[in-house]
Amino acid sequence: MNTQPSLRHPSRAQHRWGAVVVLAALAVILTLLLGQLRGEGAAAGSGTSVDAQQATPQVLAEQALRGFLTASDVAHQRADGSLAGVDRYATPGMVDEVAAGVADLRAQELSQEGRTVVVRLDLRDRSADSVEFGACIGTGAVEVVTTKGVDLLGRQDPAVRSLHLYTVELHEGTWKVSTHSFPDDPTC
Amino acid sequence: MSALAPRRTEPSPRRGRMAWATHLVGVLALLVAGLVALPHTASAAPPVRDGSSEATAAASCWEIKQNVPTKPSGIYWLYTPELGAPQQFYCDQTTDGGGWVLIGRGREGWRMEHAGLGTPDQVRSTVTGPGAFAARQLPASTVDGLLGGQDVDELVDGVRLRRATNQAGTTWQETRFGFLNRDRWVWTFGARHATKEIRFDGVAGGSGLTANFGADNLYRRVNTESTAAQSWTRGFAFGGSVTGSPAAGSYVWSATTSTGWARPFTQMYLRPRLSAVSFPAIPDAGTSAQVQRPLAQSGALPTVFGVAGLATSAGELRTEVQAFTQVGNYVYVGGNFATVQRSASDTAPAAQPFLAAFHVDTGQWLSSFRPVLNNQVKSLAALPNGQVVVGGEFTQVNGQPAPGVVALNATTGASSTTFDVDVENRLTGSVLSVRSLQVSGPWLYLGGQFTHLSSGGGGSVYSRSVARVAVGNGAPDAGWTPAFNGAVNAVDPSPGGDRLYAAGYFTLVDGATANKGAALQTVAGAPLVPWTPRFSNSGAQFQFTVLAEGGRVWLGGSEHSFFSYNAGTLALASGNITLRGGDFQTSTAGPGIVYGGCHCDDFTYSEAYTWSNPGTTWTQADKIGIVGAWDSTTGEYLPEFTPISKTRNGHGAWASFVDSKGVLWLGGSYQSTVRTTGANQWSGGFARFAARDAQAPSRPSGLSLAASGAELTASWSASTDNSGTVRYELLRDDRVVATASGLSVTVPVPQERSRWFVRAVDPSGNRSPSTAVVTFDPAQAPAFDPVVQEGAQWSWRYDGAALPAGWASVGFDDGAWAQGAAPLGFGSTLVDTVIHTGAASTRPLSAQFRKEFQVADAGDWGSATVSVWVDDGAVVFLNGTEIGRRNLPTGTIGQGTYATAAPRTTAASQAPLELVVPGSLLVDGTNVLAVQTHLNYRSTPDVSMESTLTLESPGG
Repeated sequence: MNTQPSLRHPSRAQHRWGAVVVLAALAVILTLLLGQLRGEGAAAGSGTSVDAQQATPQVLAEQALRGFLTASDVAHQRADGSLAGVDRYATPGMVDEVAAGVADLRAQELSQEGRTVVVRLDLRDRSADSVEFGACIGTGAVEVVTTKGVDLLGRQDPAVRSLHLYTVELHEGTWKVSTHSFPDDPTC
Repeated sequence: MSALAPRRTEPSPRRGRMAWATHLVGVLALLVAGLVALPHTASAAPPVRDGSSEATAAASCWEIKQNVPTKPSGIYWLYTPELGAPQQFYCDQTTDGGGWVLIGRGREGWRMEHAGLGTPDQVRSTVTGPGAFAARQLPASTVDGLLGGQDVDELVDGVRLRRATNQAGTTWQETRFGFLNRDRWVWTFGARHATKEIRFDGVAGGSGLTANFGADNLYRRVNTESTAAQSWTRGFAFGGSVTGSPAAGSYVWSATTSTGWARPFTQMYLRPRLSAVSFPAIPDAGTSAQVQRPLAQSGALPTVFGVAGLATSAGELRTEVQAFTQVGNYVYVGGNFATVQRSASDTAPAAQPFLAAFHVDTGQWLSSFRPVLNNQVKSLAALPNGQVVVGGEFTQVNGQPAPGVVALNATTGASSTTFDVDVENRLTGSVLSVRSLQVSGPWLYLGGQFTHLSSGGGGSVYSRSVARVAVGNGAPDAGWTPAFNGAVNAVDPSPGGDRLYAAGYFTLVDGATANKGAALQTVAGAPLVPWTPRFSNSGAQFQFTVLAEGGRVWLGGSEHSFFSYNAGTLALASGNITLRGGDFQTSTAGPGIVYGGCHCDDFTYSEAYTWSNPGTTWTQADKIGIVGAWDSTTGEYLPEFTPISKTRNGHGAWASFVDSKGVLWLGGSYQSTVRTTGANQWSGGFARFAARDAQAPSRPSGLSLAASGAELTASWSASTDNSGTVRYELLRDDRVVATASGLSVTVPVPQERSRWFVRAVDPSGNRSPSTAVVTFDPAQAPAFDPVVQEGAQWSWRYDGAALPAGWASVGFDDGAWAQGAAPLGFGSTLVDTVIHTGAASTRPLSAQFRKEFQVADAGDWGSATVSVWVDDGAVVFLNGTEIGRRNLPTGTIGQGTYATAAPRTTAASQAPLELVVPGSLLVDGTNVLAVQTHLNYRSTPDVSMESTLTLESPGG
């Protein structure tokens, strides 16, 4: 049994954080960014078109991720098959993931209530057209309810949170979430 | 030479139970041995095929009409190779040149099932009038038999409907139409088969599909659809402007007097123009066994227990029953039910939510198995150690945390102390759900909605929607951790264990495309096998079921599809689409059979791949009622299996399983089913369907032939069968010429050399291998003379006093004895003369029977053959000399001697004691055959005696 955290994205092995120098440089930027983001709900982005003159890739990637999480929440809340513009923030593969989740809920006549919270966002790797985040997401406010409003998740620990791994890529000129996975140890 | 006893020339049919005259065992042995090497081809001119008997059965009503134009309409014997044996049908020999065979008749209430409706006897015996208003239809396979291998669309006269056009039934309409593209017969007229050559009373006109075709909205229309307005009945309705009456005697029926699409009383005829049909030659070794496949019967087994109520919220994915497995002698039933109960109105249902067990044979509830779960069960499997492993949406079992999966003691339901796996779902907005469990080798495979697994307090492993754990202790395999981007509804390992197939909502596995169906190798790393499943339309969002069976991978789900793929290439191999209702939700396998369940109750189109329009290239449209069956290797739909069931809200079947006894269990929201008897019954959440009998009777033996005058008697030794009863088919040359329920049958003596066989048929239609050829040559037929026949009058004595001296001898005076016709005895419907009616305690142990017969020239006879029922024990005498005994000890037999066995009368009649005695025991004039019977115990349920004696010429 592997008890060490690991990433499932194929590029993970080639992109381990070996370059301390790079990390140090990034740390400054991340500290600034995460300081702003920590504790905030995932707000819908207003667009993630690349404007290299105005924002760094990390910022744009992060905007895309937050937009994606919000759109995903909305799609699961609706659970009517509409995807709430998820495709603005996600590649087709990730749109499929949301669609699959929504279809599963819909088939069960369920829907989501409440929103996820990004507790912490860690930059795990980056390149010119790809950024990997570790996102500690809180779901203590999320319920999965029947048409009669019965929550099937039961009373959740308000502090329940899980470490998700996301890759955000520059996709046809737009930053979009392209992969979603977990480490073996999802605690955060 | 002559025998003086009166002769009964035609044994009654019931007498056929007895080995008629027992026959010349030694003589016929010579006959057979001497003639078996003769040429095999019968040279007799074929009989006129007039349909008056099995032996003269015609290939069609048409052939009868051609051979004997004067024959009136009525019931005739027809026979084609495809029918298997001659059967009786009603022929209309007058309309439009005659030659029409009636295949169905009725008013409203026609059905679409392959089995037809009612019995062939009902179809042929009451063909018109109010007594024929209840629809009766021949089995589709019988109609195919009448076609003799011809395709339905090749019928030059098409399908003929004779419909009443007024409520009094005094005016009629003749409708003809053809199927444009149809091979085998179907009753699924509502399924929109293409038509051709439509004519009403001889006038061409109109168009349409079999569901609705014609030229106007009055009488020149045929509509076969069912509607609420007409109480969901089907018939061959007129147009919407024609109303009928709900009166019982009305020939034109409507649910109300103002409801259009009236259903007239209708006769359906076909006219296959078959004549001089040839049958395949039978080799000397005889015919081979013919058995049906062990397909589930369409009628459900009687309900013993069921489950009811919903333990949590309602919904199609939270039906009462969603999973089955078997451990030992119990089948475990899981789902969302609340109680276990015996009937819908059970006043004391047992609260046992989510999981219960029932005996595989009796259906009885295992009341010691009482696990306590806090949410629904969605999957079950049997672990090699005899524990039952449960998957679902629960988080606690027996008061302890057990998220997603738990292993239980199969007797008590206590949680396992050796198997431990915790399953987590870290995805947002979804519920932890283990929807599929399958054991393959050392692994238990899981499918569902989850992300992580751990065991024994160890670290967790990320394996998303599919994972595997050790069957011994539940430890997850960290080296085989695929990640699906959507929930998995079902997994199924390949028979060889080298692959795991999955069905669900996903489109990617480990980032690679795998659209709702996936094949993973089971080697480390779970490499994906390329597979591009096909879907019925672009809106397909999920697949619910996957099954590796018969060299195919079966994938079913959205929308309305059940497709199979070659297991080697994963290329599409077959497809079925249900038109209404819908998606396939479960599948399982029996011997050579795949069952697929859906929330459908309509039609399934074979070789169709699109929905909602199945197109026009489909090959079959058959009835499907919540579950269907397919040949697992060819992909062919098996239309014989058409259970009639009702499920709550039409949710259909969500679980299926074939137990160790071959019984198909179907689960979901079942509320009622129709049994094999046709009776409707309550079904609580699930229903059971036993497999058809697929075992052939044993081969009969000892076929012998004996000619007497114009008659030839064939006799044989009994076949045995698991059903307990068989009938026999006597074949001459290449076809069946007679059937019998007993061990002999008499037919006209052939005038030419002929070849004969006999085989047994059980009630399910399984046929034994036939006997090897026995050749009959009339020129060498031996002489014989039955002088004591079945049903003869006997003198008898049933008294507790000692046996009279010399009672079996010729000179004994039996004038004071009672008289009665054989069989004599008590306790059996086979007995004609009852010899005791009092309490069993008053019965003497022995009864005696005497039969005198006359022989004019005793020296002319070489031997005599005696046949005796032995029930319970018997001693047989000829002219005072004991010639045999059975079921009695050696030594002197007295009035108080007990028999050593207690066969029942039916068994005794089917296996009589046969004795061949020398002619020297006979005397000129009066002879006496005497039988002394003995009870095995005084309260033995039945006793009987029947005996025959046949004289045989020397050397026969």
